[in-house]
Amino acid sequence: MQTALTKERRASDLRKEIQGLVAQHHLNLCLECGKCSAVCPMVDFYGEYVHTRCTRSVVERLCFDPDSIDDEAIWYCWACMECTFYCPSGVDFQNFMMGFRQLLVSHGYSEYAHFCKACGAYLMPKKQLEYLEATLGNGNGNQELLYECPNCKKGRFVFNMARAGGVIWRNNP
Amino acid sequence: MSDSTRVGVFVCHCGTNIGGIVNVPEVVEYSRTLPCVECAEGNLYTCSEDGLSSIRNKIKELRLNRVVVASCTPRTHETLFRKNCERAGLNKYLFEFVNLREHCSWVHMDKPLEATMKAKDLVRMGVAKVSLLRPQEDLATEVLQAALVLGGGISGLSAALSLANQGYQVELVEKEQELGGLLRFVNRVFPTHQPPTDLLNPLIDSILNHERIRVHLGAEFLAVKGFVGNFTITIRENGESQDLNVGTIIVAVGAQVHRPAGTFGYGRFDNVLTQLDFEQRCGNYEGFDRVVIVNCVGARNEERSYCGRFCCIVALKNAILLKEANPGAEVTILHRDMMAVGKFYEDYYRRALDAGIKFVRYRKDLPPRVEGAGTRAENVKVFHTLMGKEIELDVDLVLLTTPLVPATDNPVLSRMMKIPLGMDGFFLEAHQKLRPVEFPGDGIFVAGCSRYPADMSDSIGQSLAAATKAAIPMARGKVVSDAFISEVDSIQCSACGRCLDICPFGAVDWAEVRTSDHATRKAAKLNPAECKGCGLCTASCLSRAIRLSGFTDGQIFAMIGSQR
Repeated sequence: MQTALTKERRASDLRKEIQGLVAQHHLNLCLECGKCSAVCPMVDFYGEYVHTRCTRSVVERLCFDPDSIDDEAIWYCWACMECTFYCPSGVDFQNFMMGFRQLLVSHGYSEYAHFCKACGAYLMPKKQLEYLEATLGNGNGNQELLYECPNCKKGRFVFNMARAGGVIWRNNP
Repeated sequence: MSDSTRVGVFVCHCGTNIGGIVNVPEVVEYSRTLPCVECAEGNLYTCSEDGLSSIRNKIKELRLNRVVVASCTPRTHETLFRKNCERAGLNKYLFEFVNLREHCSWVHMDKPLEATMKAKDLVRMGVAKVSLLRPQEDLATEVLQAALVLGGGISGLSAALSLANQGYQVELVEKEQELGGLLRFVNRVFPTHQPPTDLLNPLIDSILNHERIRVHLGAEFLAVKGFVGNFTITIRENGESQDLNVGTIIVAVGAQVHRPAGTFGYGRFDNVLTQLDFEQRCGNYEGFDRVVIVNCVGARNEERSYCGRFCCIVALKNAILLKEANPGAEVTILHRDMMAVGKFYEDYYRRALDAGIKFVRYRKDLPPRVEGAGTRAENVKVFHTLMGKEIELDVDLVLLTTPLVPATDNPVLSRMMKIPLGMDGFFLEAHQKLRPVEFPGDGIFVAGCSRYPADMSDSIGQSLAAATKAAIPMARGKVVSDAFISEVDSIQCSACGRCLDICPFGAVDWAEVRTSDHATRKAAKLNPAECKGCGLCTASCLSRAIRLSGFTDGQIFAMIGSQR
């Protein structure tokens, strides 16, 4: 009983925080003109256009469909800022998306998120990782970049440099 | 002046408009060979002062008694040339216009030779016709210095006050017992959120206390007779019928609110109301936590194709007021499209967005469904087009935004006053763009919601325009009409009634004619003041009893018979 109540309260907290983000980033100014969906590059990444994943739809789902936070569709966005740039009403969707994912992760919705393997910080959606693995892959060493956050990468670099006695350019063993 | 016909022909180059295609000197040369032509000349611009004075000089020098000008179009220039003839002492109806620009040079731009031949033909026909014209006098009728305003809503009130302040006697006829029209039931006006009484009461006060306005409340409109300048209207006020004599009429009968019985649970659930019902019943906006507003109820569908024009703004207004009264309320507007056209309305829409009112688009083929138990609606289900699934909204109030629909007695009024109704049931103005507050018949004007749904500023704008238009004939004191009008030969008339049906101006009516000392019979009678000389009756008359002066059979046959 206690657990169920707490869970409910946490869910309602999350909803309230989402509404706060919606107001902060002016999502309610949307006029449904469709420019954001037209410029969204998601179709290039995933090979198909699914309207439930695009900007306008995410906004609508968060307003009217409480279950949508469990749906993977809201993890497709790359936060590339195209929609934010073209929006005639001033909807700041990019920053909303970043803040929204942080919020979800902090509430334990980690199913579709990919984390830094060193420190455990949120890095990118799994969907984005899959795409990058497929494109950057081929064992050329670039894949390393996908698993650590910039902070950890920098830390490891500095650590290696110190151990090598100040020699900066040396390949990792 | 000698009695023989002496025609002067003036052919205009119209710059290169005619001169660039038609060989004007050749046409002038040819005109000289035509019968009765005393002189013919070409001008660069006949409508310039040079051209006009040349016509006047020729009329005086050569004692011309007929003038033919072959130039641009009678639509813009006939009056000018007629006045010019008058200045030279020639009756203005002894003038004939040949349309060389629009009937010839513009339509045959790539065929100059053929165009020149056609120009000659046209001039020859003009000369043949002009010889048969007879001098005529304009018809002038006096205009009574009083106007009738039909309808005491915001449009009628503004029109009446404007006319009275211009110095005319005004008869204001309202069928209800109170002035103010639909605006009386409105709670607040957008976008300023003032109570409408702030705007109505001063207006009504000045109407009631105006020395030149007579207000007839609870009055029924019974009949209208007459024409511009001299209408006689019969009304029944408090059981007594009385006649009003006026010069002009303004129709501002307004419209009524559509009540969508049977749809969206209207009439079944107590908490499903139209916007006006809600404003009428709920003085304050407090106590509603979950409100759903459905727009386009009964508008833009098969039955009623038009857009209500300001319903979206009404929905925004009530949504904002509900949200302001109770900031925690969930207000959702279900719309097919949001239209916020008008001064400051887009900002008003912004204000609604900023206030956190939610907007959901619904599809025409999947309208929202209102569900509930007993007499109370509990939720609204709507197919969300962007999510592609149905969502459910809990409600404790559903507002239906309905358009204004034509008043039910519009058809009666239309038949009585011979003013046209459109397909949608609203009154049809003479021209949608160029004559928005006039009817085809003279002296009757239209304003406000009787023409099309109009918000307050539109209604007032239109009624002031109609008042100004109505003041024109009254200020002039008389109406002068063209002498080229139809006349009925009652001996030949077979009383078939075709001309009565076909006349767009309502100028033909029945009359009793005496056939012998004791017998009378019915025949068509034409009112010269109302006739515009369009010729429809002349063309439709089976007994050839109607003659249109200026276009008589003799003149037309002379034009045709003058072929080479």
